[in-house]
Amino acid sequence: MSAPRGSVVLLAVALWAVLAVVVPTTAGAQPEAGPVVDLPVNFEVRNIDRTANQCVTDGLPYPVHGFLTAPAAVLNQPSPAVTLYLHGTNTAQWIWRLDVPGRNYARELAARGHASVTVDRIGFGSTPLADGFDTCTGANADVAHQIVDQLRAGTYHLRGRTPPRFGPVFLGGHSSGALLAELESAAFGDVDGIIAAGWAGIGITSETSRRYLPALDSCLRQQHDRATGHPANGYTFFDPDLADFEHGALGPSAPAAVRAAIVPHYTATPCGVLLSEPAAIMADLTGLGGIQVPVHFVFGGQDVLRQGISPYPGLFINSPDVTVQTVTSAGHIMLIDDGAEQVYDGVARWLDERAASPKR
Amino acid sequence: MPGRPFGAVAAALAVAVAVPVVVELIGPATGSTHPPATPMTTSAEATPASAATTARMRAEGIVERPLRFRVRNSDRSPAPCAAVPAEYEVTGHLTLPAKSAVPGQVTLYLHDLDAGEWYWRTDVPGYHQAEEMAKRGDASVTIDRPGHGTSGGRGGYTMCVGIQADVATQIVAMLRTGSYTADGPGPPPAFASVVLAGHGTGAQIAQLAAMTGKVDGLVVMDWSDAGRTERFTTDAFANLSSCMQQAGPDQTPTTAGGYTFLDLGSKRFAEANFADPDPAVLREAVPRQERHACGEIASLFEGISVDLRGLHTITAPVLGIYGGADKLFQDGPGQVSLFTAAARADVVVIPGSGHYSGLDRGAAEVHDAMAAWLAAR
Repeated sequence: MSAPRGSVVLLAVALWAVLAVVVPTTAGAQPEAGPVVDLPVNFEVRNIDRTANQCVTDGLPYPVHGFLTAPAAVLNQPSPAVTLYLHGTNTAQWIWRLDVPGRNYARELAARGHASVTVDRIGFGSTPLADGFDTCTGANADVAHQIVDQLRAGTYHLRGRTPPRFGPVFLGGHSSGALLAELESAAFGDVDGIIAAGWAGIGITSETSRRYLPALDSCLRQQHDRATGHPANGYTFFDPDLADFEHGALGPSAPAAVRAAIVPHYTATPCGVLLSEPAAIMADLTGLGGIQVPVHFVFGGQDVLRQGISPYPGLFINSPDVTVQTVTSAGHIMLIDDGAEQVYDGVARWLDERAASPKR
Repeated sequence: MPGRPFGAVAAALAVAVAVPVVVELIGPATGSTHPPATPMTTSAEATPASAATTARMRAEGIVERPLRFRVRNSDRSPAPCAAVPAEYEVTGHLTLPAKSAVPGQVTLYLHDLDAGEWYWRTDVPGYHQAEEMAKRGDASVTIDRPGHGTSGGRGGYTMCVGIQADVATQIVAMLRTGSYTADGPGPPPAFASVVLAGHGTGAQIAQLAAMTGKVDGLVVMDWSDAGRTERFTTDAFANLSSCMQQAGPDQTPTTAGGYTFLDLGSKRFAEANFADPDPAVLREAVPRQERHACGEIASLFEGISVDLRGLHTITAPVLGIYGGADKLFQDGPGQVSLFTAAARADVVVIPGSGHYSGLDRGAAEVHDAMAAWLAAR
């Protein structure tokens, strides 16, 4: 059921090498932002967990691969602002970089004047694990913290130029990527704001349960297989099939090009991440009072994985400002769905207002 | 034990029957005798049924001593969670036979979700586990796990199975040294041998404790990591969703939130857990259903993964006891077969019993199997 991990590694490394030379480039949405650069970026991190969601990790060093996408001029400023984006449980970095005109989030934000770093979480995309049980939600959040530190210190690897030292750093997350952002901010208090897209610690739907329970069972069966001498790689699919993946990701009016573009990205999830999510959500919900920075929520009105989430922003009792944006026609991954322009504009405006005077 | 036939329990039982030794009660620290204790009356023994139990045990020469263990809220188990630093008391009872079958040995019992110490002390003749074990010559310590009953450790959202395992390990160590408080005459007994027994999630906790702490035996009752039924998984996830809907940042560890029932309503509680009950047991047990910590259910599934990774490291002898009609867990023999490093591994399946195998009509088989195994271990 799981993807052939070795092939994924080779493909990811090859893609990373090819894309490394595709700089600089330009975005089309708002040419006034000037030339846009899209640079491969590398972080050296440890797969450890110092968050409120203690879970099982191997504690080993790993590279995290991603891209810095920004207006070239922004990177030449002293201490510019940047947002680190984290994907969800059944996706990867691709959601922020979809190869569909007008649906590449990072480029759209760059066209609106903002720098973005997108990464594959440990265990996903370009950083697969030999054993999917070797990382977990809390560790992924800790890794985000390590990347935030490196973005501020300029101690990461950037292809083609000296790594900028960023000033304000925001965390953006989609689905469980936003869970990571919340855990990170509550544990370390080192970011200037959170963008939470398609995420609430409440409002789980029957569509979520229908996916999660078999995935959970698959992971535990793999552990049992190992205990009885049979190999298992610790990866499983969150969505039972491709149709469920599409239905869970997009609303009914999603552009056909987007629908087609996500198909190759139907891949397996590390079991350690899946298994740790219930306890992570519990730790998150009870720790939201520790978040003391602005939070911007973006919801898809047609999201089948979360409903009844309107009380959620109210739980951020110590955030100085909490804003909510709902794209009524969009599904769970509203940032590539019908109406995604509203997301780009809304997030850009929110960043415009906060990057200039960070609250941290 | 690798390759051990599950029918080996029959041999164990035979050995137990053949052992004629009934020796003096264990004493403090060295296993020597201590001054005879008087049966105690506790605040929990105020109902007519419990008064009858007390009188019955007194007549049987069984001694009860209320206990208190001062523990730290920490998690050094292989199933990590962020433990809020605190100290509190875990309460329970030591139930001693007049004559011990195995001097210096005690069994510490850990109850399931939705239960409490009462599971082992149900006031119906023949169903009071601690009494029945004492009648068979075995000493028992029953407790309210942290956050349950009269024990401290409230914190519905911050509790987890790892903390429960750590606390169990601490109590095992205290039982070895006698470093706890026991009402009644004489110092708290120190036991040379401590067996850990758990029922349901209590068994999962016992397994986690056995991976890191030193136990002299492990009894797993009605828990199977790979034998979860769809009903258990579905109910547990529904339970988790309900916990998420009520959690929030204003729910600190000192507030009362974060507790929930796995089975909603007494009818479902009875139907889920019993297969062939004596109506008298239902009348006693069902009203005593307790809420459990949301954090226990939230950590349980990751705990299963940890179990399956680590069961092969447990070297203590293992006994599995299963109700064959359990609606929540099946395949007890499969579970016991995972203890590949255990000094011995035995399993007993009681065909007509449900999840609460110790409270169904086959309870005597549970007591007999345990007594035989404890004697023959």
